[in-house]
Amino acid sequence: MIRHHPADTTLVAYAAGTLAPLHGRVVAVHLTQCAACRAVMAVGEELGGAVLDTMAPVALGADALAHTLARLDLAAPESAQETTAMTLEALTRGGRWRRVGPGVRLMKLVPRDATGTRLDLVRVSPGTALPRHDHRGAEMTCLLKGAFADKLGEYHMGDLEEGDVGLDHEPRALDGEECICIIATTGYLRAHGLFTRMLQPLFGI
Amino acid sequence: MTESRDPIAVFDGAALIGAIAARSDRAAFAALFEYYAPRLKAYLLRLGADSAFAEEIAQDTMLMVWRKAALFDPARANASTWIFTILRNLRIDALRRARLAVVELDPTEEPIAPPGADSVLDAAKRAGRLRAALTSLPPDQAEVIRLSFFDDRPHAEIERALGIPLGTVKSRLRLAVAKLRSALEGDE
Ligand SMILES: [Zn+2]
Repeated sequence: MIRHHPADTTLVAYAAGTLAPLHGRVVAVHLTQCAACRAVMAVGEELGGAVLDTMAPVALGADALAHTLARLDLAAPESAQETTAMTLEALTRGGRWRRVGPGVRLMKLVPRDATGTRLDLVRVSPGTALPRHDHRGAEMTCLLKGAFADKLGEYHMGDLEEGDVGLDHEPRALDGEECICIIATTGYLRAHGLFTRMLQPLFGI
Repeated sequence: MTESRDPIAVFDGAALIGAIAARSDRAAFAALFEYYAPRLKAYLLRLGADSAFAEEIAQDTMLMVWRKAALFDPARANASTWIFTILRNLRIDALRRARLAVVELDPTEEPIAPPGADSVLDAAKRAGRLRAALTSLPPDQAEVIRLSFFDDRPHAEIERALGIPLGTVKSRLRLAVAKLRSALEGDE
């Protein structure tokens, strides 16, 4: 039972194609497990169609149609499209866990991009807490395994937490099972206290 | 359209896409191009693209419509929604290639089927209802929707653009989406 969902603003931005791509990757993982959010996403895409219909047309170059007609019979390029990894198994394939502190391991998925966002998997042993930290950019987390809790609530498989700028929290894996999350982080985190150095690779500071 | 009081007429592209799928109909393609390409270009310009990029992506989108016409299912989505998702994905790919972005969203090129959408009539009805509901939204709610599509920025920055708190942006959009959904799901 999924209890934590992305905001409608996030889902509509994802449907519009205006959400930061790596945040979109985390939303996509949630969508594979959440029919309620897929319904909102569908409305967002229909809105996109309506937006197109209401645009005041802007003429293309005089030869645009002829140019496109001439391309219709060209062979389509081989589509090298692979499916985007959505499951824990697919996401971790070929990756490497690095220990970044007691009970905390990290697998880099995508290095920091032009928007200052990076994508990682974080794996936390049962009962382990991450040091308290706050956010100077948005963070999006989806649970792939286990559960964690912070002051915003308790998060289980499929739940998505959106941390806005200024979120100050101390997430802790629940006892019993290790916790694995996919996390998109924009900007830099600011750790409080002694653990800053320990989690340097995680925080990128 | 099935609902004559629609304030915004819906161009019926589904039949034209069907003609392309059935018999590679170039006249149908030209008619689709005439309607959509200038709107695709306008949308991209509105998103801040320069003219050359907007023109290129608009044409690439139409080319993809030609190639994928057989995959279009008029019961799942109306033509504008389907073409919008093609445009969105191509634009994201192009931005990624330009290293302005790094990773695609979901590579699925098909729009997500709305729950309960199981006939062409339903898809057309939904399109009409959505457009009617959109025009009756209060201006402040319509504005946050507009900004979701026209601003390549996180919503946290829309609050700066509108000078209202993020919580207000979110609650306005939530209200707007709820209204649109009830308009879509309501029986008449
Ligand atoms: Zn959800």
